[in-house]
Amino acid sequence: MPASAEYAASGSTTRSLDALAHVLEALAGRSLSVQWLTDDPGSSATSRPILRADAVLLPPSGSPDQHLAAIAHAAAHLLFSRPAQATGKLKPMGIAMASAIEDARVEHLLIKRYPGLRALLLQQARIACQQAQGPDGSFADLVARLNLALLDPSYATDDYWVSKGRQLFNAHESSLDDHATLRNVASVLANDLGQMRVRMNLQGYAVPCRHGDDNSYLWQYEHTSEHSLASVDTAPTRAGTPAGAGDTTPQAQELARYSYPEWDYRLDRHRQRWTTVIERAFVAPAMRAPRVSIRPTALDHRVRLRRQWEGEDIDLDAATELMIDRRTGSLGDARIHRRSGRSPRHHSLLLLLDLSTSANDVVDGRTVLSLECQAALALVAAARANRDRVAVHGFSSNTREQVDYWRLSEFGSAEPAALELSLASVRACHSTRIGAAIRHAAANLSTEHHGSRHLVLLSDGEASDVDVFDTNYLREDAAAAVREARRAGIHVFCLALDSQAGPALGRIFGHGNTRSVLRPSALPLALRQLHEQLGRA
Amino acid sequence: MDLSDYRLSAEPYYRPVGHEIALYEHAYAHRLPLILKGPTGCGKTRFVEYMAWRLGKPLITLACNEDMTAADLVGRFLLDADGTRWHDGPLTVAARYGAICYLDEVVEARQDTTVVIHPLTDTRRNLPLERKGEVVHAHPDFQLVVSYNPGYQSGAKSLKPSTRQRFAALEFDYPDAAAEIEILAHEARIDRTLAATLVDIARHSRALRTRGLDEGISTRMLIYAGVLIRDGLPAAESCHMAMTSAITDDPDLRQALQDIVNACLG
Ligand SMILES: Nc1ncnc2c1ncn2[C@@H]1O[C@H](COP(=O)(O)OP(=O)(O)OP(=O)(O)O)[C@@H](O)[C@H]1O
Ligand SMILES: [Mg+2]
Repeated sequence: MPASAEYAASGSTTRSLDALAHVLEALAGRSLSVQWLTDDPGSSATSRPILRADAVLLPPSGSPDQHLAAIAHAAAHLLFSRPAQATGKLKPMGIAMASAIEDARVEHLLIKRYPGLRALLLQQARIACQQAQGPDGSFADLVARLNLALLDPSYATDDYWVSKGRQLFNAHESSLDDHATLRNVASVLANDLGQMRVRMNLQGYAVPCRHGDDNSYLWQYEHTSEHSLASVDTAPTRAGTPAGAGDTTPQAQELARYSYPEWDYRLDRHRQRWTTVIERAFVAPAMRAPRVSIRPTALDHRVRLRRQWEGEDIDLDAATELMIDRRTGSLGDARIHRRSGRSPRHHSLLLLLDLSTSANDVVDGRTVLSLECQAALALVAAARANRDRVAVHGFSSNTREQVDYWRLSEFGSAEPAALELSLASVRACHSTRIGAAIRHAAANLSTEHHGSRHLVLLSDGEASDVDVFDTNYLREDAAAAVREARRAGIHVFCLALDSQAGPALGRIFGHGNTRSVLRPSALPLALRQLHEQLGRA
Repeated sequence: MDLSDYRLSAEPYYRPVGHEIALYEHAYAHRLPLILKGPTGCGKTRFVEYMAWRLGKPLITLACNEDMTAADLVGRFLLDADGTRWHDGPLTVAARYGAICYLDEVVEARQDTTVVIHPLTDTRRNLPLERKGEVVHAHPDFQLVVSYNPGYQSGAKSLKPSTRQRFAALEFDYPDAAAEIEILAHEARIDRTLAATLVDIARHSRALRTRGLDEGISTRMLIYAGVLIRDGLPAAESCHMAMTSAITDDPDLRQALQDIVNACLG
């Protein structure tokens, strides 16, 4: 393909933040969250993306191509720039110049690596030139033109300074990895500008290209106040303040207490009545939704009924037997058809959320808890569409005396709004006594009699509690609880929300029954896939 | 019975990626049943074909599915003019006459189906045909090989331990970049520069496996794309048709993959 091909503006294809984050991970090999920049002090003409070590913040204004270009540019910095350099004695214009040259350097390297991005970045540089922030000959105008000149060999300019800049830069074309010599180029150019008495508008200056970040990633400023402190629109961190010991939210209600045994691997036996599970809910028990009876479901072609009186297929084995019987003179069974049946495969699925303190951790700009909640809603919606019965429960623990078990929604409850309300009130605190929670969840599931029963734990950590110091103890207990549940005919599965937790949880649930979801944003999708797989179980 | 239809007439192209050939030969020498694990389209089937050719044995392949019954594997009575006639299933044919039997995607079969292979895959090496009242003793050349993709299977589907522990395993993954370029250039008959670009795209897509993509772009998909490009279709369109729009239904992932294709193509 010709390298000069105009970028085919993909005009109408908007890209979601998820899609942009996917691209960033693929290009840069690093996983950052991509978020919209809100609360932006600048106007849309001067607001620029912000690159941080953990996130890219994009101004929501701008075309889809501009967003993609911003992601490409961010990838270039992540791949090739050294972050947080000391500014030393550099003056603002020196910093701006060094940043501009650094931007050009990393974009060149990026294009070498991904030639298809050239057209996209070039398009942005052209736009920046046409819509320069200052009059001809101003600093902003010169930098925009230099930037275009560096990207586009065919760009004709009669400006002495721009041509000089292009020459100097091109002289280093083969050594673009050499960050230091290009810093020299920048200081030569900045010097020239000083002699030309070009002034820089300190307050109003923004990097010429709208897709380029504000370069705060590159520098370690003495005073951060001069620079963008725009805030990020994160999901409400309602779980930010863990509830104090023992107290629960006002509307919460204690429903009942249960005691369960716990497996002690050192003794190789259960300790009887060892843990106390305290059931709580946000709604009065009377309001709990009544059980909905199962309606007949659609024909399911995965269900093949054999030996039927009629059907769309011959059941070969039955037919053969019948013929043999007839020839040998006996009557035989004339049910020789196969047909699709109504699916008896309703599933009852209990989603168990880990509500321990670690759910307050912020990943990708949102708390694990808010993610768990989102995932729960997604799963409930999917299950309902499939006419499965789902319940969402959660737990945390504060010693064996207090394993809080939250009934957030009940099997057969048809009210997504009620679940949303419960999820909004729930707080994450304390520890993770997985075994006790699994035993209680399994007990809850054992009253479900429709088709297969599934228990899915969503957790970001290991089994732990403040009254246990042996790290193996609760893990072994949890593994025992999983075995007990499986013996009772319950499929137990775990989604690990943390790469470190994956192997530990894998030891409890079995590696085939644990799936790590390393990117929290991939969780809702993973859950939906999990649900589809249960459908095939 | 004549198994000549099941013999490979020409040497299949296979580019070794490790010492899997030697490992397979050792396993075959002792007739150890083998599991080939690995993501889809990474060369498992091709490898078995190659090994069957190399060892000079016939190869009988069967793709497993949920609807498959034990009778589909071992055989059943059929009717003809004179009465009933037993018809050997593919597994029985392989065991009786000495072929390598390859069960593709074995976890797709229900577990109660899979257990019929048990007596064949331990020291008994026989296959009881219950309905017929016969026990087939496996031919000395017979070997059972099964494949499965551990990637997207959940706990909902897996092999019973009693099945799994009858097999030795070889793990496969997509070949390293150099090997994959070579394979792609050979199979799609395209030049190495183009092959390198396509392989680059695939590697980036595989990075999205942690972001919700079930599987990255496989070697097989690369070959499809390469063939389309060789045919004269524009590269971006070929990639779109053979890879990005085929691989996922998730709009965000698809958009991202398309952007990655465009970025790499240039
Ligand atoms: N090492 C290799 N040598 C030669 N060709 C290969 C190799 N690896 C992959 N291929 C090519 O990739 C294609 C797909 O491989 P193959 O069909 O063997 O995949 P598979 O692992 O069996 O996939 P599935 O699990 O989906 O059945 C082959 O047709 C072949 O062209
Ligand atoms: Mg195959």
